[in-house]
Amino acid sequence: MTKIVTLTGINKSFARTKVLKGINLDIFSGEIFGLLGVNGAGKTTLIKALLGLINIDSGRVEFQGRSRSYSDINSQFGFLPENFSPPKKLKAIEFLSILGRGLGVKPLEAHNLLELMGLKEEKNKYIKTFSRGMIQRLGLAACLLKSPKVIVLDEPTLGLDPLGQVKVIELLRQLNKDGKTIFFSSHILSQMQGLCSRVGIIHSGAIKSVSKVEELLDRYATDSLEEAFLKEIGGA
Amino acid sequence: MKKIFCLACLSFREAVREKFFFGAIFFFFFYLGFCALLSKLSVGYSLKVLQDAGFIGIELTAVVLVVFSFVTSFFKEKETSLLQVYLSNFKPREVIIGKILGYVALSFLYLILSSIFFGLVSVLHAGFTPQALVALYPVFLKTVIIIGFASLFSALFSSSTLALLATLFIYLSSEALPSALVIVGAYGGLFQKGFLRAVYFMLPQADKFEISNRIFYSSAPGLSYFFWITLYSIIYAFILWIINLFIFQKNEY
Repeated sequence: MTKIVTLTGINKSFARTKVLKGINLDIFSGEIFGLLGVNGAGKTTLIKALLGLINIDSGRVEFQGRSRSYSDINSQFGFLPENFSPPKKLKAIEFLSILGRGLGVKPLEAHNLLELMGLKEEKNKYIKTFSRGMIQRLGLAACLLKSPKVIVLDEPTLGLDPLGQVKVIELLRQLNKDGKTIFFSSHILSQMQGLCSRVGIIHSGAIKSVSKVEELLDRYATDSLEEAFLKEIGGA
Repeated sequence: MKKIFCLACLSFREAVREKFFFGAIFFFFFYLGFCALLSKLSVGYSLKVLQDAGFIGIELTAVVLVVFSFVTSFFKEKETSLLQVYLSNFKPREVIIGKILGYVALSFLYLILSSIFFGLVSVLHAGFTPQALVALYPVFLKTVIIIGFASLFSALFSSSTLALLATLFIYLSSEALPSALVIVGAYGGLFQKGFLRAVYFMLPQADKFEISNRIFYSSAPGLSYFFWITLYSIIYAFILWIINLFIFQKNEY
């Protein structure tokens, strides 16, 4: 597998608090990479650093072997942030097709994506009538509009009911089968176990380990990712 | 350009369906009714009262509408991470200019609607001067500059209240400065005169945008006025946009 994203020596502080401490991480093309960590571990900050939404103090972000530029982010990265909420006074299809037009996508693509996300029936409804799960799926559709190589998701299942979580996880599997590289953060460990090719554990702003799920489980002789995670961060 | 147009379209469609927009229209409608009543009571000055009060109402409601809508929308987009999604799809300069253009379109629509209401009330109550509508063009340009300030302060401050107050303060200061200059010119010291003149040149020069009295009571300004006021507004808005872009790119989202 080839490296698609490389983070080298990423440091970031807010005031005097060091939030990211020398992060080194490689993401390979076609994998589902899960970033695990407790609240406040630095997951969201790392994602923002990857996407250039914050200015890092030092370090380097590379995309396909060269320094990641704005145009790389705009064309090759799809992003669904935590607690995303689109303009509620617009209809789903209206939001998606206008956004798509700006990204040079044909209107038909917006319809197809809504169908893929299971929102075909709701396409002419105002977003304010959508449930949290529907909004997440609409957000996923929005981040797929430009057909990005890398999909970055920050806590994509947060606040969803079990059915909503299953739907989003299934969609991620489907997208990965279609060749997309997925990088997502979560602290819901049960979802990671059957989904991720590799997981990275971030704790107090530093990467504790990066390995395949099976390797992590073997290391602590357990079949529970939760237990392995807690042992890895020294919490159990 | 297509990207900017799409972002403007998203902002405009959202803003035009917000309560603020309908609220401003309804408020202006009732305000016009009040102006009509006042003009009936002002025997001999009916037209003057209606025109003066009507124009003040149009400008004030337009400014309040664009400032409140822009600032609340900007901070809502920040809070709901929509801004992050836009920034992952578009360049910062496209995001800012798209948003500003959306609100410029909102201001334009509002001024058209309010001038229609104003024209109707004028026809029904005291007679209508069609040339009066020309005076709305500088009002529109003024709202464009104010939107530029709203955008600048939204990027500069982390609180929506601060951004709102700062923008309204700039608007009120620029309105009050020409009168303050006259007073200080007559009674003030050298430092006061110099200071106020410097501030007057830095802020939008509100008196230059005020042509309704000239249209109502003498003659409309020539084409050269419209050329220069348009150029002034474009340059002013452009400078604001450059500063805004610099701050926006430095910010973290």
